[in-house]
Amino acid sequence: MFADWTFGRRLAAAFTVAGIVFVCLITLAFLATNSLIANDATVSHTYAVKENLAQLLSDLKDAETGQRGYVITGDESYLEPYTAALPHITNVLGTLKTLTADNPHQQDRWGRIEPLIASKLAVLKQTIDLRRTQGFDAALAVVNNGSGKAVMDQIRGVLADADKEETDLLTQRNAATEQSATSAISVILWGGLAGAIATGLIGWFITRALSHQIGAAVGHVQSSSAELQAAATQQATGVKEQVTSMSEINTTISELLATSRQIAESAQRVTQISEQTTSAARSGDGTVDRANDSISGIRRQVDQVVGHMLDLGKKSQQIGAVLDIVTELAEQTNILSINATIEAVGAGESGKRFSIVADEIRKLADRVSISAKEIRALIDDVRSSVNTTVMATETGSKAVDSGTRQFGDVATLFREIASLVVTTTEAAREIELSTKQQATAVEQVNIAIANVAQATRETEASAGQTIQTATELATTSRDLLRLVKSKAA
Amino acid sequence: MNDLSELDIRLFGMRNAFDASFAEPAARVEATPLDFVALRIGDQPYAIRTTEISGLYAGLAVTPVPTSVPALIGIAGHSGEMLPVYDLALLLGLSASDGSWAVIDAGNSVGLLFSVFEDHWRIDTDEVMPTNDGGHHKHIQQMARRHEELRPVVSIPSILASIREQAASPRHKE
Repeated sequence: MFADWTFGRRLAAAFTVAGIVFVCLITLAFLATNSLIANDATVSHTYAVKENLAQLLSDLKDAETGQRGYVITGDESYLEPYTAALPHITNVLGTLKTLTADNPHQQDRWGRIEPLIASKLAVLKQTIDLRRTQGFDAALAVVNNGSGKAVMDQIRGVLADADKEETDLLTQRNAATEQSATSAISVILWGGLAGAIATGLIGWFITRALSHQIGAAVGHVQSSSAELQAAATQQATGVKEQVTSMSEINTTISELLATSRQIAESAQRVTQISEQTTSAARSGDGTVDRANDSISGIRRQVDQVVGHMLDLGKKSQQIGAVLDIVTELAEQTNILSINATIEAVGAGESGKRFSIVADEIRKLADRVSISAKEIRALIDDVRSSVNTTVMATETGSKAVDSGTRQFGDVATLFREIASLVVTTTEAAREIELSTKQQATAVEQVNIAIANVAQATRETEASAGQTIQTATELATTSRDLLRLVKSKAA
Repeated sequence: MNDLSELDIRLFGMRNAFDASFAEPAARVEATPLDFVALRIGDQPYAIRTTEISGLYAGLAVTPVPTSVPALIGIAGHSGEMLPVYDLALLLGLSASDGSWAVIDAGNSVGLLFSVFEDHWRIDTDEVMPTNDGGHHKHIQQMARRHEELRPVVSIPSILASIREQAASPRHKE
């Protein structure tokens, strides 16, 4: 039943029980003390009544003493006790009535004593007046008749009865007071003893229960603090590694940021270049058209060159034919000169001079032949060159045709390139924008990383603090466990 | 331009030489030079003395005739006379040539066909020397030299003697 109770509930229950015990004890003690006080008050009340009874008798005696002194001496100063006692007697009698209002016997006595006192005071006044008016003897006669003494004796008897009753009451009330004191002492003594025993039992029970519960809890706290210490140590190690990693990440992010900025700048340059390329491609489109026209012009020029070259080849062939004639003439001249030389030799001495002329003619024919050969070589070179040129020109013409077709393809490709360059420009702009956004994001990441690094450093400090706290907690739990175990034992 | 300038210089030199030849005194031939016709038979170079021939001819029209003489190609007309034309290569013991050039001996009796006429040599007598093989070939007894070039000299009289010898042989007569 109590196993499930909480710490506070057990303490509350224990203190409640102890409180109830002490409340009961205090109540009993209060009642006993109150009864003792009440009994003591009745005793004091009785003493007060007895004192007023004595005071009333004394006041009557003072009045009688003053009366006697004045009667004897006739001196007014002896009347002072009498004069002082008169109002006091009335007051004391009133006080006695009040004090004994709950006692019908005493009230009856006061009813009886009041005429006696009035009678006594009347006798005294009579004697005093007689002494003052008629002298000592008259007054002495009245005193001697004994009326005053008789009244005084009656008063004494009534007061003695009243005092006796009060004495009886005092005896009864003292007994009651003594009984109340005994009861109070018993209540305080035994109640205190019972409260102490109850408190001890409750303390033992609470201590036993709480020692077990707190000991178990402290054991858990100790093991938990040890685990917390280990976890905090591991966390500190992890946080240190994390700090290192965050530093590396920070460096990497910084490099990444720089790279992103470089990429953004490069993308911006690419955009500018793409825009320039777009402009150049557009102007290049017109250039391609003009170049196409130029190629067509070149085509016509090449055709004309081919025609002229073919004419030049024909002219070369004609020159070759003429040169064949010249060569033939030179050879024939040479033959004729040789034959003339032979004839001159046959003519003997007279033919020697002719032989010289023939020799000159032969030399001239040789020179003509050599020149004709050179011309032939040159003509051959020219024809070869013409043929080569014609072939090259025809090849060039074909190349121009192919070039014209290819140039058309190039123009088409150029337009496609222009279109693609526009697309590239847009893509480069998107890349630039994206890279700027990326750079911004990387900056934010950098800031976040810096914040994380700061938080990690704080976590590191916190982990150190946690380790210290866990260590202190472990120490405290050990001390507490030692205290709890020793207390439990 | 350089070639053209060079041609101009050559033309200028030729013109001056030609003009100077008329201003020079009549030449006196101190030494007797020897004239040769430089020719090619087959692919071999040879030379023939101009004194042993009466003329050099190109494109001599030869009419083939049936004959048992291998070297006899045919006959040709020259200066109103009929001449037998022989292949000089076969006469020299070489393989047959397909030439169209011909020389005619000094006696205008025989035409000798060869491959190509190359040049006309005029050299001194001391440039003509006997062959090193000691006259092993019966038609070639001398060598002619111009500059550093040596050519065997074909002896036309020896050729003619050989032709006559063949013509006079009994087998040929039959």
